[in-house]
Amino acid sequence: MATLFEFKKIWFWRLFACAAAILLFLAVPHSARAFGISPPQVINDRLYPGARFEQKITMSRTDIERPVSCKAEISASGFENWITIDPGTEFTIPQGQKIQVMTVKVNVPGNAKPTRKRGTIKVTAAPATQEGIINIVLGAQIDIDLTVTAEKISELKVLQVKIPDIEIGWKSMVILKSQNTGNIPAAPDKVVLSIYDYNQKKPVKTVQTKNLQKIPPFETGEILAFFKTSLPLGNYWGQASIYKAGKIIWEEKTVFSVKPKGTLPPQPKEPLFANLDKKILVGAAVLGAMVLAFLIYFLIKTIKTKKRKRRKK
Amino acid sequence: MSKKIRKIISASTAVSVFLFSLALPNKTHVIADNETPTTTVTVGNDAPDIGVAYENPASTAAAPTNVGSNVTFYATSTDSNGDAFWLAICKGPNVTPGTAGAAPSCPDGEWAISSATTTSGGTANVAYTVQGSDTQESYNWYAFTCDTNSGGALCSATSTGSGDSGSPFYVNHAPTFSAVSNDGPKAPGATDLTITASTYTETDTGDTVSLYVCKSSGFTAGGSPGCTGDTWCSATGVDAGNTLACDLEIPNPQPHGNLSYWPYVVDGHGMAATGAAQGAEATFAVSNALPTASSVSLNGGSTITLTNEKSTNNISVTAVISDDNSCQDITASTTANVWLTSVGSTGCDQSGEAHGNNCYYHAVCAYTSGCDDASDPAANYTCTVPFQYYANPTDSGTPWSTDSWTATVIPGDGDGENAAGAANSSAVALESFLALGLATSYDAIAYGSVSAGSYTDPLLEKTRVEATGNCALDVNLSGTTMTGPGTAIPVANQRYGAGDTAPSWASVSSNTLSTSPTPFGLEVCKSGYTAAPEWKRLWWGIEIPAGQTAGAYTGQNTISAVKDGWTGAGEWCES
Repeated sequence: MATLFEFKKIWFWRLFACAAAILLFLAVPHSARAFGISPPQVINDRLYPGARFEQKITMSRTDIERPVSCKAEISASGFENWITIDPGTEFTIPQGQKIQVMTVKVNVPGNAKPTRKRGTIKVTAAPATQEGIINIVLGAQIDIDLTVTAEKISELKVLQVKIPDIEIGWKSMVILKSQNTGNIPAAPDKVVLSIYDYNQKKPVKTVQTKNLQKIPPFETGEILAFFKTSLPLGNYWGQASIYKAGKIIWEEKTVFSVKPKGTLPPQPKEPLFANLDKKILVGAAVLGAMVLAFLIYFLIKTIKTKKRKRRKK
Repeated sequence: MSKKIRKIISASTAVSVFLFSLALPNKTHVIADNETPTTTVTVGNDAPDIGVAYENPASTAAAPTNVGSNVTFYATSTDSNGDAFWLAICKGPNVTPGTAGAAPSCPDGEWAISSATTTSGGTANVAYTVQGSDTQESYNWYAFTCDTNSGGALCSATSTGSGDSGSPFYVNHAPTFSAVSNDGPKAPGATDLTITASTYTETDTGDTVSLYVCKSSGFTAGGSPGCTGDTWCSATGVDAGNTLACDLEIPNPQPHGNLSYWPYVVDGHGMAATGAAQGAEATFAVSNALPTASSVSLNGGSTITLTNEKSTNNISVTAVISDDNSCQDITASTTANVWLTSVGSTGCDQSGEAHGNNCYYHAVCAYTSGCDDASDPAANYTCTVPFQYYANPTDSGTPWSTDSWTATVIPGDGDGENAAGAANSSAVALESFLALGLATSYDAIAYGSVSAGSYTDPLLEKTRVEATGNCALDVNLSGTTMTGPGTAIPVANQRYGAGDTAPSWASVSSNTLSTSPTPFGLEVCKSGYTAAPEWKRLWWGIEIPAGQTAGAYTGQNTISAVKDGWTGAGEWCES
């Protein structure tokens, strides 16, 4: 009987274990999901010592029904302190949000030697853990490839040129959307605007300007070029020629109109001394302040001297 | 003494007085001292004495009188008898006095005879309205004044005046203008649309003609002829018989269709023409102008970033579309083709060439702003291009790293698209979209029932990894230990494998899962060539340690996408 009892006991536990094992790792169905990043790299081959460079990386997902906890693990041996991430290395994409932009900021030390640095940032997006299953976390890898150079590079890429409508009495304007692909502040050398009548039968006016704002390195921005043209009401063709390093790097010919007063939104203000270096502007301001202070001092001293002389008399 | 009594005396004693007077040798009436003489005398009627007749204004060859206008004749006359007088302008050199003081008549025809008498010594005038039947260019006239003597009116000698104001008077005949034509249709802005007075006549010798093409009805003839409103064009001082035409400039912009004009012809003296075409509304046709695109920009010139896995991303193309028929003529038939630069615009200009990898054909464009009214030639358009998630990237580490994307905007109007007016954007990069997805029903690692002391053999197809972006994929795999009611199950107890058939547990002995991400060459092709999305099986297995406490265990496996660095043709399964 005992043997029979032991036999039954063993088989009971075996059957129990089997039954328990069936419960092990039961699947909890998930909807199909995906995770992606763009671009999957941070590349810059022209970082000047002391440079700042930012790369926006868009993360996206399909399953927005749940929040996900994101982690960004930086592997950047020897240059970890160059790299920071906004909004941090751990953040949450809330429920309902499909896209999250992450900015990888690269700060090259001012004493960095010319070198090439490579690393990765591994990004994962983990939904809240569910008990009793193997949760699947999706992720993607961002490759880092940075080169520090001692060479100063002045390059500008024009992305888009617009010649907007103006109101009568306004200056003509050319808007340049430009990307500084060099590593020092850059602007076009000049912008030439040739204006033709709408029938394109005769040139009306050709004007140019060198008063152009500079775009910081690795950034994209708009440069506004203003021209005094005094055009009457009507339609015109304008041809904008953008010069850099003595060459035309972009030409755009399009229609624009001179419209009556009060028909357009206000025109952007023309920047003064746009192409002057900030250091020069600050220096000039300081010098001006010093001269003014000296004049005031001299004036006060003169007045006091006169008063003393009067008293003595 | 009244005139009547004088006439009686004249009638009864005319002969005796005459004889008596003849009997006197010195024609002296001797009256005896003792007689009372009877004094009778008959005063004769004298013809009036006409001065120099004249026209005022003078009707000359240089300044003829238009048909329908008056030639006014003037003459001063004096009658010794003090009689009032009639003024007669006759076509011939003869005049017949009227009877009983009535108005005279002209036996050769009259131009004009005054309807009332004028006191002797005064100036009479009489007008003649030049008739269309006066087909000669000049006519002689003869002026007479005739008194009103009822007993026997007398007329003066003739006067034909002198100089410009003298006979003859000149007649200016109206030109005729019966048909007008033009050589339209022509495009807006054309300066050579010719309006021709195709049928006109001018019969007067040496006269000229002028054509005025007015923008509205209304014309002033005369010395300074011209349109009442604005003038399209004019041709003046053309010798009669020559082509009478002028060229007008069509406004730009100008909607296509008909534009009205009102033509007027006058002769060299400002006399308006007669005829059906004079001042009658006519039209010329403005042809359809083909629209053109400019300022084309793909994604604002910025690098394109895709963010929708297994779906499309709307990328915008903007352009300024101008049309000489005005911006209101531009229609939704404006479209955009967006193409991988290496494909070229001609490789993406037919519907059969469309492909999500490299060619988006005829994306729809819509008006956004800038078209205020028909005087505005240009408008801003935005085209929406549904980029597939697998559109070929052009950044580094891809097969297209030296390539780019370009947009062509083909403007369209009511007559369809105008490929000749198309314009291209600058080249724009498209970034790699590294995205990984798990296929439906293959998106969970559920091993099911695994007995303690056993393992899954062969491995189970638990996941299918899809390339849900535009890159070929490898993966990094990692995991955590599994915790549950018993001892934790080490992460290394899981294995993984690839392939179309299930690998055996033993064959993937080197593919043990670890806590640190481990590269695994899954090599999922870039989507868009053989399938969308491309996918690969990722097999999983687990070994449950002997004596493992039964129950549900919790773990976490991470599958991370790694861009499969492209090094050679076909590596991304691209063709």
